[in-house]
Amino acid sequence: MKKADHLKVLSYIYIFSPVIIFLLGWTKLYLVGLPLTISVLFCLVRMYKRTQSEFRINIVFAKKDWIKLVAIIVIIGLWVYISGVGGYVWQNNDHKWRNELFNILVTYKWPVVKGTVAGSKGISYYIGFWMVPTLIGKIYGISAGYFAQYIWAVIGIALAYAFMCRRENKVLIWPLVLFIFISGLDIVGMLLFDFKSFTHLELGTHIERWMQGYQFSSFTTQLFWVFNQAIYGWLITLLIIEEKNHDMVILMAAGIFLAPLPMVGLFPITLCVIWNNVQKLRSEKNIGFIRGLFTSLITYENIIGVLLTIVFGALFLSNNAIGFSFGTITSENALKFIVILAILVVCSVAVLAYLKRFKHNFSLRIKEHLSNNRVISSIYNNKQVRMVFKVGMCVLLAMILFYGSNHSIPANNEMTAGNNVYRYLLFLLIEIGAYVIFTYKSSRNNNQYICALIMLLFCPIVVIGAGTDFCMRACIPAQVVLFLALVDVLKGIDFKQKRVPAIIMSIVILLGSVTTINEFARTIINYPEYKEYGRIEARKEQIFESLNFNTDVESNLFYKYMANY
Amino acid sequence: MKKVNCVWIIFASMLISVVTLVTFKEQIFKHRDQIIYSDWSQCDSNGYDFKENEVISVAGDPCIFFFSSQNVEQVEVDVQLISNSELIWNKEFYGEEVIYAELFWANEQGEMTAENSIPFKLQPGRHSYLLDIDCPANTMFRLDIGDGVDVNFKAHSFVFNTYEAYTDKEKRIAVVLMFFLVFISITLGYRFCIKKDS
Repeated sequence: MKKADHLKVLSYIYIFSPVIIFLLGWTKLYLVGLPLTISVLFCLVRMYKRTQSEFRINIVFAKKDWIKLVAIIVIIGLWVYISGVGGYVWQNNDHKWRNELFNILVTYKWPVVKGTVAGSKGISYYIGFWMVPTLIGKIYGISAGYFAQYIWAVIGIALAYAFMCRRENKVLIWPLVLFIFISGLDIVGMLLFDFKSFTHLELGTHIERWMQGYQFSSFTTQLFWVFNQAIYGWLITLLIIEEKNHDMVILMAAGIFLAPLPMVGLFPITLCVIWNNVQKLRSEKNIGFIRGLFTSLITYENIIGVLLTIVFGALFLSNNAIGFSFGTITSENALKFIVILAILVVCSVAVLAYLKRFKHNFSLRIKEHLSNNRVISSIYNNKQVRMVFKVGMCVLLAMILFYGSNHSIPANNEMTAGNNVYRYLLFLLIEIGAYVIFTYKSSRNNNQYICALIMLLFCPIVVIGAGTDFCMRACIPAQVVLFLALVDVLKGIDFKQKRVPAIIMSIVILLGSVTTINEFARTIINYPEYKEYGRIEARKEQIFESLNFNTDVESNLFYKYMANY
Repeated sequence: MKKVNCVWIIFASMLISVVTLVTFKEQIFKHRDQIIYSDWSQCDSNGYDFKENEVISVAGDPCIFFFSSQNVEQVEVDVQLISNSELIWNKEFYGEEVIYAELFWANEQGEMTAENSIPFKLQPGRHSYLLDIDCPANTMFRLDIGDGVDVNFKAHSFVFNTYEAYTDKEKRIAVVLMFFLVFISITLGYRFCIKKDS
């Protein structure tokens, strides 16, 4: 019998242990908790067995790689330590919310519901990251819980990075260093759009917010500010890219609980992975697309995934932040949106009708671009049809983006009131333009990469809640895919022969790293403040009065029917 | 599916259900709820003066009474201390800038003694104080905040975290439902994840 894929098995445990703790601790055991936990455990057994029979690339592990391995763990450990996770150094402002939320999860009975002046409020937030540390905190005390947060973060990042190494087939350190320091060219954006702040720039300034209403965060910024979403976002993205269709839904369902906004961004990329897997299945078994799709997707694991999605969806659907976003839609906005939607439907029908005319000329050819079958693209052999299809899709995309960049979907909030197409294009150009130029040529045939680029175009035009959270978080999976493409380019570049592109690339990466250096510097500069005041915490009431963290118990399906409340 | 498997699955389902019931019997058969007092002036009190949600003590040993018609498992007091002379006095004499508070509840004889109370300290600014208490329904509670006059604070809420035990009928339905759902989960899991692959 083949050996199991330990990396995948560990990742499954890392992803599903919070889910199981939540099911057992928060839901009615006789109705939801126990049956679903048993089902998830069966799924895990099956997923474990499947890793034994799947083809995979193993990391070639030499003796000297032990040193690299230790170095990687030390780098990740230091990175997490300086990020403030665990609360051992100065922490960014967002940590006051996360610390207090963690305290609440440890001290209150599960499911957490608090009586306030505005009625009973239940926690409705992506609390997945804290499930294991909270359990440890409940048993061994709050300090042990904070330490568990630190260890849990290190494990998560180590697993995610192991997937990156596996793509390269060997243990490498430089992609980790690149992952830590890479960023959009925020410093250039600041120079062009906020010159006054640029001239008064001090070490440790948070420079990601140079364009109000839009923001892509670097990986370091994500870890330093929103580690609870980022780590699971990275790991699940890297896992999904390698995954087969039989457990896509259950992984995405777990992701909805652990990091919902990144999962929204990952969804289109997952569709690409599903498409690729079906095409591969068709070429192997000579079956139709629909049959291939259904036979690969309708599995026990995915059906349980749908049930999990219902539970987690019920928890998040009436979250007050989502309610706020839809409450801001004016009748004028709604009308504009309906008109643009109608135009899109007409355009889509026209394109499809045109394509149907050429159906007899249609033949689908699958071309495998890599020997490991990772990237598969389908091309149409009729150039005219292909051109019409491409132009049609580009026009549709451009129309949506033009509308969205001016109005936002579903509507603008106070922070995004000044958004327009000009600012939108400049923001994209400065944040990701250079990296797209570097990677497009080599990755353009990879549909996951193209999908990631489309997501990076889409994320800034969607607004949920009172800030730019959707833009910052839903783009995480797309950023990971773009990063992988960049690693592939850097791996293959010949620095002697292609000196000019190499120099330009180095300058861009160095300019980007100014953002992350500032993140590190801020923690170090403010360390005396931490020594004096200790860990920062919001008040409990602020958590339950804020839009983001709670829901009205009376109107929430989860608390009404599923929670042990 | 073979008969022997079916018997084993029934046995496993029963075992899991019983173990769960025994382990989590305190948590499973409870409806939890809350009774929220946001306007304290509606409650009986001695020695407090109310101006909207701002409260000030006007006599020594002030107290306010709350009543819960349901079983109580926790009490949460959300108050915001406003700087006052007792706060300064406590800092000078006891070395900590706090106001001493105590929550009493009536015992079976209706008496409120030091044995039936939880003392706690109010810190300056707004804070919530979660107190673990296990009291039956229809219990009277008394909250003492401060000892003397001029103790000033904003009263945001006084919350009883309550629970109500399931009725026997609800318990029976829950147990049967749990057994069936566990049985179905194991049967389907075994059928599709263990047997099919082997």
